[in-house]
Amino acid sequence: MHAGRFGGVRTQTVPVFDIVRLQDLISEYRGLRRLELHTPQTRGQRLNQVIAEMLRCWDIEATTSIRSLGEIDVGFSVGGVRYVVEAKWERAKADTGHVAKLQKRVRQRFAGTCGVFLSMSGYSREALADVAHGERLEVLLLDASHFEAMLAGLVPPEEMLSLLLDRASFYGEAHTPLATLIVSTVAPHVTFGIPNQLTGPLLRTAPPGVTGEVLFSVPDSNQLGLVCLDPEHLLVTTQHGIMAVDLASRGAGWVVPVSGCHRSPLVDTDGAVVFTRRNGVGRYRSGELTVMAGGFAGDTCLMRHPDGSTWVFSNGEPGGAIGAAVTRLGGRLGDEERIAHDYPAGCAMNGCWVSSGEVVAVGSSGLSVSVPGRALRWLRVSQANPMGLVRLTPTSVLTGGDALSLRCTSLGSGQGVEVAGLNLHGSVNELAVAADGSVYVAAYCQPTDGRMPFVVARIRTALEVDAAAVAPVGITGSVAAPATGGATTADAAQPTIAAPSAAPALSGQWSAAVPPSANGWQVSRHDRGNRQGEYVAFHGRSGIYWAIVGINVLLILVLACHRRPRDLGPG
Amino acid sequence: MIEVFLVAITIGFGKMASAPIRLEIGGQGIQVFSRSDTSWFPWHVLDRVEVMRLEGGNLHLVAWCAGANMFPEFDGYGGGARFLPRLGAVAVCPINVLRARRHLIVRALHAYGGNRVGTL
Repeated sequence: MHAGRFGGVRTQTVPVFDIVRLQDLISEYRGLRRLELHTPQTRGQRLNQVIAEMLRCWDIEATTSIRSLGEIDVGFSVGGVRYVVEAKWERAKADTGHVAKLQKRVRQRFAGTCGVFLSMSGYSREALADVAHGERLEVLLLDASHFEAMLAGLVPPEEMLSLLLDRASFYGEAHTPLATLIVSTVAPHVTFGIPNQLTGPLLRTAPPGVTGEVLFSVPDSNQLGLVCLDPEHLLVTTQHGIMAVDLASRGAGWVVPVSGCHRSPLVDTDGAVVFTRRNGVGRYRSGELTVMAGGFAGDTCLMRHPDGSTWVFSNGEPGGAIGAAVTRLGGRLGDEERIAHDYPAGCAMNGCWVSSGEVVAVGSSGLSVSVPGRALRWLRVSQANPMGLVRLTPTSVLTGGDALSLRCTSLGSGQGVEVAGLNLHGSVNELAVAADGSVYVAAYCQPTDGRMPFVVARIRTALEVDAAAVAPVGITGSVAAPATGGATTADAAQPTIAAPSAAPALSGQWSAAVPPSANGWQVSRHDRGNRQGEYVAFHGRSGIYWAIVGINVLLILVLACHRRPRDLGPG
Repeated sequence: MIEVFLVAITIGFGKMASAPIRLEIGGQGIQVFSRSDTSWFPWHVLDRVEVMRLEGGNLHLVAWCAGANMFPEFDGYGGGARFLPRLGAVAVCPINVLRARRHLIVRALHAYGGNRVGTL
């Protein structure tokens, strides 16, 4: 695994050895899921080969159907550890017998061999309990979500196995849900006000009437992304997760406590947050993580189509087998529809839909306007390294380029005008707009002590902004940012507060309906937070109180009876 | 006058009897269903959890987490979570009002909370 570069930011994308084959496997997975051209028996046999081929796509040599002391479905080696895999794709959940069979085969092999059981239908409660209470943990239990995450590249196999081994070794967990596995253990961290690294005014150059202010900064993050829900609520991507920031109450909390997310997220109408991670796309809602799509080549960004559908722009691999593409996402992994895009591979930095038929891409080759699958129309951008891109109207976009300049370009005439020049560092930036014409910018300021601080600033302009560009699917109001402050203000001269969270979290919980607290949690929630069957309930005493009520009622009755004759008086 | 007082405390105890506190400790966090509110503490916000004696000598489930001061310092007689300024922690729930014994709650905390459970 190595970290790639994306306009100066380490995006930590994992190189896929064979991305073309991985995309084919993802397409085939849809057929397997729907039992197209397969019986349940042939699907189970094919699954073994798909697992092996998927591992080979990540440059992990794997062998299928190893026959010796009991047949092994798949065998492979990662980081010096030998894994033997037993895979089941049946309607029923895997039970104790299935897992015990693999445990026996692991014991028959050399010490240190690790068993991996993959059950696409999950596990019975007894099977999980038996493994949890066994003498020694010898197998890792994976379900469909783990497999989909690996197949999509959301959590590549090497990272997945490392995380699973950590949980099994340190916590004794054979089966760890996907959302728990990649949950961030770091508290959200923002500082309101102007950071020390920013010397001088925010606006370097600006036409009359344009004003700017630094809203807050993130002290250290190698990832940044930005979405404006409404003028007071933003979603901000950091290397530790995606947080909601409430500008009114100066609070911040996780909405997606998943480490390794990159670029700007999208918010669905139901409050779910769609995000990109590694080579895949995930969807997070109320602590549940689902894999939406994957197999994207190069660097990716999410795009919202005017019809409300979610798309991914992937810039491809420079000189590789795959070029840029726009992909319409379906509900589940394998449902995506990929359309090639003519932007030179590896050169585009961002993309967005400007109308129902046209997509704009921006990068080192300039600004292109195209109908997916057809030829491009190029527009010149007099900006170095444009990266930030946001649609203003169907005929105009705003781009953010080097050191840091904001430029509005008309898609009809190709004419551009500089909106503002900012005293911010580098070219990596993300933009968002609000309906009132305010532009939100996330960009790095001068790095210090090896840290990568970035600021989020608001530039008030008189730009014409199409309301549909701001909230294309009615997201405003469906996601509420934190109402209370847990972050700090620079003007109060207090050190920033990082909430203690040394131990790995078991699950992230967040609901879009009620504002979460500064730590991304709803202090008050009326639905059950724990999953069904995964909690112990302790009831309060009520008998003693009923007894007191009874005694009191008796006392009242007795007093009433005694008082009545006296009240009547001697007459 | 005494009847009025008796009726008032009867109503109070009636409410306590009809809506007892419920504490749930699970894989995702700790939840307290009290008369005043339902408080939710996912594990990822909890730094440490302890069962300890507070004022009056009653055992309480106490949690250390960022944002503890978001809870009220006094919860009326609702029995819900409240902020303990001296400890900088949250008194999640009194233990003596629960039917379960202390050690059962501690076992549940260990089972689901792992290394977050402190001195007990």
